[in-house]
Amino acid sequence: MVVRLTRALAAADRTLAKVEEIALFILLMSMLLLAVSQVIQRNITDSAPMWVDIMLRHMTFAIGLLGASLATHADKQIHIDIVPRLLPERPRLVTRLFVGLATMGFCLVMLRAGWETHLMEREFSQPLFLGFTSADSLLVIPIAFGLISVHLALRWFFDLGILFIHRQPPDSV
Amino acid sequence: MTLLLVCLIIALGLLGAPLFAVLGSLALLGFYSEGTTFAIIGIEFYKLTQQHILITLPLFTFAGYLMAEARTADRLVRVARAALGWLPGGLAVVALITCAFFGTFTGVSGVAIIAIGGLLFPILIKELYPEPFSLGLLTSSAKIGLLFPPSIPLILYGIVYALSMQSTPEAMVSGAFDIGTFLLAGLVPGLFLLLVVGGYCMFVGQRSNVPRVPFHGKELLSTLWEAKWEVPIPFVLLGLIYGGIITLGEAAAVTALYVLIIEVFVYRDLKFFRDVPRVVRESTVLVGAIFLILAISLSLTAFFVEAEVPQKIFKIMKAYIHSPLTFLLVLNVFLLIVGALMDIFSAIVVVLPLVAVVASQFGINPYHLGIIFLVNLEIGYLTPPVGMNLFIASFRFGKPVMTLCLAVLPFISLLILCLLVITYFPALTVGSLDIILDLLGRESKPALSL
Repeated sequence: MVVRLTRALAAADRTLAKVEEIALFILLMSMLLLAVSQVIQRNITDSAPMWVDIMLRHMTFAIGLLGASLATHADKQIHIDIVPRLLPERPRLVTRLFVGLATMGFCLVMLRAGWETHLMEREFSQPLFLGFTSADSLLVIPIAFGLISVHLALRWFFDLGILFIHRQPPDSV
Repeated sequence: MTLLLVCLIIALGLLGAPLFAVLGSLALLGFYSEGTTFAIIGIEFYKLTQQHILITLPLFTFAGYLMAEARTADRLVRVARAALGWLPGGLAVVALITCAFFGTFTGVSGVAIIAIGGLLFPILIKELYPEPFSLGLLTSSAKIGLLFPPSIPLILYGIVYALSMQSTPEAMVSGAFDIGTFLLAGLVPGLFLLLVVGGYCMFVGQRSNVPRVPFHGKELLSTLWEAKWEVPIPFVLLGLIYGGIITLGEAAAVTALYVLIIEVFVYRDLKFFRDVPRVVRESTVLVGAIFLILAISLSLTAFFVEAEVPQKIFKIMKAYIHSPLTFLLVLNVFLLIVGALMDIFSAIVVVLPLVAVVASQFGINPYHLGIIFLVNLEIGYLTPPVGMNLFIASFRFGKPVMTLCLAVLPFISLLILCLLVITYFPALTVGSLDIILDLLGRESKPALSL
């Protein structure tokens, strides 16, 4: 039962990461083409539409936060792991579970803070580009922290599995 | 109670909590104690969308990762070998230059160690270079490239410095800090580091009686022809930016598209649908990790500014430190410790906002400060316990970390020597920058240093 659940969750984790990868690929490639077309247009006609620059900056924002979610999935967030390096495997795993729980708690607070910012902005929302408003753009923050929380929760569950039933999730990362 | 919570958060950080969670929790605690709504963090995050320069982060990182995944390293090594192999210690100099080139574009992690180390380590050993020297050289060379544009730490320093100073009265004193100008500030100090380490390579080559390769003009031309699409990238890039043809952000886009086209369609080292998505994933993972701590640190900086923390630190320091020279000495020691404990990105976003304000009050030139900052962190990358390069090299070369710690010691000594020269001869950075700006016909920035 637990094994089957672990497998299903690992598959869900991989699928979520795949969706993020596809979104990042589309965003980065679109950004690349848009930015280069802006250079060409600016050098040919001596002007480029203002909204392209705004869009590029918001795409960078989205890439940064989505990339952060993918970094969580890949366990590549930047951390100072001086103590865990010195610990034997089992205490390291217990520490990881404790730290994971605290990080999840932080991310949930950030999810809520991001949502509150979005709600505040909705009252004074400014149009940005192609019908997108500043409030829409701010949604990236709670979405990203939501995704990071999901990745953290799944990893926490897998770590728990390793600790108690000594079983790694199949290709979870 | 607040102090207890701060200690708990720091303890979680030492136990391995991601840095973004540690910094963010400190910011949340700060805002909570001041009675400020947490929504302010979202507003601080959103300020990043006002930064034009930020677009360079994902695009230059993507370009660097593309080159690392393609066979660029092979081609560059062949060119450098044909051009410099005849020198005493020629192959070591080749390793130094190609690692530095890769370090400029990939800037971070151990991409250069992985890409070039594996290629050159067996050849260095075969050509009778001592093993500890070869290990030390390949482990430490890439970081020298961090001082050359468009390295990501250089850009990140510029972004964080500008953001840290924009809301302080010191911004008025230090004049407008220009990231474009800052990118040029590392050129001469970077060349200085290359010359010193290159000189050491030549000395070791001579001492170890390493056979020298005769120079063949034809071979140089043929290798140059093979790498003709890649070798000119940094020079064309600088020409376009400082010739006023394109902005830095545009240059990042043009470089990324250009590298994508040459690696996929000209050299055909990478397949678009098979390899490029993987490169996008790897580069965006790195960008995401940096971006998140950058965004979070903005909130923490906002709290520090509100609570006047830098001013308080300055007042305490002023009681003990009376001259900019002493301040720089203390700063060097402090940054070496920081570099040994944190990776370069964390150190920039966490420490710089505090150091920038204090340094400006001591009258330190922001460009000079930036180069000192980065050289310190370069050295930190080679020092335990967190010296990332040591662990990557240990994995890559299959040697114990302790062996690598000993192997990099001569290089650390040389770099510390260079650091002292860079720190106490500001003309090397600021003076040379003025000359470069004059040559480019750009307005020179006020030099406040020392």
